[in-house]
Amino acid sequence: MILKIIRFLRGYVSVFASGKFTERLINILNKNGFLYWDILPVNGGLTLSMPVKDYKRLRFYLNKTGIKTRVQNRYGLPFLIRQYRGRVGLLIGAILFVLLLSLFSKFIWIVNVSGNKEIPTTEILSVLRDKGVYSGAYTNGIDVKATGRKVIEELPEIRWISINITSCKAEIEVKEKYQPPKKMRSKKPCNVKAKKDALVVKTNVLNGTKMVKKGSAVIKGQLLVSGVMVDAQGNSRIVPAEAEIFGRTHYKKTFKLPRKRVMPIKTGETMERRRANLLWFSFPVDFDSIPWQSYYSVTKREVMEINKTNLPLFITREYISGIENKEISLKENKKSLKKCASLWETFCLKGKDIEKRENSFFQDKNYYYMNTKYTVVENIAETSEIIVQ
Amino acid sequence: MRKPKDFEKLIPATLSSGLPVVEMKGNREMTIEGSTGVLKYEQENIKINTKMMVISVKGRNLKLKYLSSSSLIIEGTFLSLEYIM
Repeated sequence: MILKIIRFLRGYVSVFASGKFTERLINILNKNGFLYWDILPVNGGLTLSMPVKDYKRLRFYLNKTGIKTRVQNRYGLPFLIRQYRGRVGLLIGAILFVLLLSLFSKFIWIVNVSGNKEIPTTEILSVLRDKGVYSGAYTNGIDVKATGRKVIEELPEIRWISINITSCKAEIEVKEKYQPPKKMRSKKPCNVKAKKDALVVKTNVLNGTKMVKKGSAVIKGQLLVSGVMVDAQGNSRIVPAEAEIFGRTHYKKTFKLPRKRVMPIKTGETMERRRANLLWFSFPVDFDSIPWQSYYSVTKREVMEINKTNLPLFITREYISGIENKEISLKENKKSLKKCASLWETFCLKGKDIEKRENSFFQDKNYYYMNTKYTVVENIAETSEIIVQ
Repeated sequence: MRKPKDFEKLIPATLSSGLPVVEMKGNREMTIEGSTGVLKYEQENIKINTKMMVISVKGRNLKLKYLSSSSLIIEGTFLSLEYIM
């Protein structure tokens, strides 16, 4: 193999020798130290291969022998260079390719995160970006051990992290901490009291003496479960009472919306603009300007991938819709009021079971109103510490 | 340094006599030591010149695998070997 490479680099020719007594050529080659190979007899003469320099020297020895030689083929780097000497662009392109390849291999193209179950990948990538590991980062300036330590400081849920940067790919592997279960029982002696007025519908006492039963009406601050327990012998002891007491309670809320509401509504006209991105370079593909004064846009990113590996090359598509301000009617206002109520329920009645809603609508000169009365079942138990002296 | 008396007996006879040494692997490969040149080179017949004789090899698809100033290797299918004095 090495011999073939050397022959290619030096350049060689295949020669056809003809004439009377061509065997003399073999003897001349041997006696004068010529290098040759693959010598074969053919019709009318011999064929052999030899280096270019030796062939130039051979012609001197063949004078007066009657042997004629003719080059059949030329092989090797010197002939390639001569063939493409007029095509400088090809050489420049090859050099540029090697330079760009070596340049781009010094940057991170792809960041892969694995091993995480609870912590979102986007959160880990966001922290890594702050610490200098992201698509487009220069690899030489990254200290992987120090970066790993900083990431663990930022995300204490991570027990162990490994950052491996191989050529232009960063493989991040994390191991999360096991979260111990929360302690349910308080060690301090306490009672359980009602945190608001309610009608008891369900009791679940884990520890303590139950003071109310299903159907009892309780007021705020009333004792529900006592922390004093008396055994069969009449001995009493103080324990941390623990219970879930579910009671039916009521909430009232008024929602209002202005009568003249101007809302942005899509006109139905749309357009699309694209941008091409490579690492940190971003340049527009479409140069159209937006014809509307008010508009709404949604951006989507299409990442190119090969063999399920994301490349740092993606197209960003921006879908733009024109919008105009429009005054809405009464029917839409009822829906909007109900949406407001739904939003309030999500945040303020979280964890509570809504049994019933009673809505009433009315309006005045400036506003639409909705009064809502809620009937809710919730846990009304709260602990109250017993001070033992 | 003077040569010992029985100097020629110390050298193998094959080397001292000037005769060619022919080594064959079946009828497929032949090594000839002591050659001085090639007299004929064809696919059916190769004639090699040595100091004392001419060796003619006949066969099929004969070719010179290796050739130096004093030895050579022929490969192919040999049918006959002739020593011409």
